[in-house]
Amino acid sequence: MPAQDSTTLVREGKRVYLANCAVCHGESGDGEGPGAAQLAVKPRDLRTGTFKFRSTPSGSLPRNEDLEATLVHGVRGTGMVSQRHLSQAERQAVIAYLKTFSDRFATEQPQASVQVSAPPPLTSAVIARGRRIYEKAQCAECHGEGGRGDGPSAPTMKDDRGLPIAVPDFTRWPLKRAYEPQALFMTIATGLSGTPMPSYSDALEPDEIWALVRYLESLAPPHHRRSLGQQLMPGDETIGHKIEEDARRASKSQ
Amino acid sequence: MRKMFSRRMTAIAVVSLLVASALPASGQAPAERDITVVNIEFEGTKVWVPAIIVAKKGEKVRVKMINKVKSDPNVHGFAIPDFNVKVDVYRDKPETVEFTADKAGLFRIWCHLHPAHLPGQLLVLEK
Repeated sequence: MPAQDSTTLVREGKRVYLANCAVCHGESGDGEGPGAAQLAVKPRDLRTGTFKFRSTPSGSLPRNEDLEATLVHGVRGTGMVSQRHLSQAERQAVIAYLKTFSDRFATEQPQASVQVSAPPPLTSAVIARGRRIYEKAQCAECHGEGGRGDGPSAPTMKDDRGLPIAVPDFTRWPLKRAYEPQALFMTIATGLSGTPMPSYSDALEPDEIWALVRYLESLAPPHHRRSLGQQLMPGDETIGHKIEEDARRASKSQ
Repeated sequence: MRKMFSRRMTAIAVVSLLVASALPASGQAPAERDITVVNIEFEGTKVWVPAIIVAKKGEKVRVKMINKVKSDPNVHGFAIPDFNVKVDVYRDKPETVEFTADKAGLFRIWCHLHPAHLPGQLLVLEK
């Protein structure tokens, strides 16, 4: 892309960012915007260049499509609400701008996406195998015996900023990112950067990860599953919607 | 007044007996041992250094753990189940744990948070 086009894109991205993102992520990207104080799950500090939801291996930067997926889907149950109202051009622009917050994007290239193999059929044998892998991989230490996020180490889990982390309850779907099984495969394979959740791509073969995913799916009874259109559940953080609405209203009145 | 004094003396005698029974036969406090282990990553493999720690039976062991692994995840475990030791050690947040090496033998150390990795051993020697 010519330099002029890149500058224009970043300038447009800044406009989109200030209108839609800065209220929580802050004008400098430090995650300390005026809305941040109201959120239980604190906004990402974009200056670190560390992103949880990637398709790339542990330690790698995310690809543009990873960042766009988070913009489109949001992070369910947190203040990071879907930014579907942005056009694709606006999304590309804001991605270009948010990448200016961290030097990592200037000096490193994101690695190739981890390949998600074809899922195995959902059988009781696969689920039973997944249960054994859950035990072998010591998932219960954080996620609990029943997958409810209540393992012995769960209460003290922290992210890189020292902020407490809520370990997900696998009996309620969709999860923060995992609105489909392939996304959960990706989380297990790539880990969640900046958190205690490691990548299991060295420890587990793809068919083992799939068995684990199938087991975790089996923990959610049908009435706990929600479609993407029904994102809010009891305990979810709803303030993100209100913050966003207030910011839009304020921006229109100016 | 005399009754109260008598009770107090009895209590002191009982406490003294309890303390004496907790001490080694020599009457001295158990020896203490300080050990520091550091978690590092070498060519993609994470290890506690040293991976084998040694103590003598009866010693009070104090282990300081430092996680210097820069790559994700931000925490690793240090567990010695035979001594009820289980500590989550975050990157650059040293932790210390104490236990009494009250039995001799070779005991397993590992990370309890992730699939069996960071293997190590605790060797407790007879006196």
